[in-house]
Amino acid sequence: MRLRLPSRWTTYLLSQPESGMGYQRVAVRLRDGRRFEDALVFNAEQLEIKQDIELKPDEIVEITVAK
Amino acid sequence: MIRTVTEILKYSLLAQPESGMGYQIVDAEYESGRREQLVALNASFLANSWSEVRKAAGSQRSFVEERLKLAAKESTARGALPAIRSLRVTKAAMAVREAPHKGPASAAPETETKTGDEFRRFSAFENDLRVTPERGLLPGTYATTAEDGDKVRTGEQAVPRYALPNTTPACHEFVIHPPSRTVIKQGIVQPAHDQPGGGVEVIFVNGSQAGTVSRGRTLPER
Repeated sequence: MRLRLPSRWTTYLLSQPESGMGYQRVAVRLRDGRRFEDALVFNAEQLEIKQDIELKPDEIVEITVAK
Repeated sequence: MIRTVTEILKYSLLAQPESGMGYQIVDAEYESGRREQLVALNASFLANSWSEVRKAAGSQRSFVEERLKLAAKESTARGALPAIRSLRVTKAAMAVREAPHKGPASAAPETETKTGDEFRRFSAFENDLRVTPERGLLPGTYATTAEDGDKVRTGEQAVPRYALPNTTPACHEFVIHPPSRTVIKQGIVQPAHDQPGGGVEVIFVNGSQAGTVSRGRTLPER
């Protein structure tokens, strides 16, 4: 599942270091409490979650870049 | 640019420790007050970077000194070189970059760039957002060395070399010329995301200042 992040997440992600060239490894928490580790963000704007789920951008409440 | 060292400055260099076998990394202060980091070889020659030394000296071991003398003559022939007031050996621990750290860049020690160093970044995005509107790089941005980047001929080749999880060919090349003393960490890309890695990776710890990034090649996808 891949979706384009709202600009407020892009702004936050650009303030964080990359995990490799052009991507960041992130954990994502949703409003309903579900959490997805090992998600990826490309160019600070495209979120990719391995699981095959339906997701709207406004369901995301937290994105944390992995150390 | 290769140039010879004056006798006075030669004695100054010989009174200071080496940074490594046969060379010193020096902070050069020009008469104008400008400062620049240079490589001093055998207390006799000055160069902007190791790549200049390799280019001038060639690959054969013989006649290296003669080749450097010739390169220095060519530099002088191109116009008067700015006079150097002093040469001071900088701290070796930060200034000397030995063979790349074999682990990932994230675990490497911090080092500093030298004048003339060039880096490349390969991106699947033409509007790579880690490149600022002022043509700098944001802190914590990854790139590779020019030498390693030269091995990448297609966007597809960048994917396994830099273990990119995004399999879209990284066709957009950005060229980075940071000023000397830009802090970086350099290592080798580790296998990840079902990709082998093996390329050189560089992290610009504090980013790179405005005006240091330009567009490079647009690579074919395959």
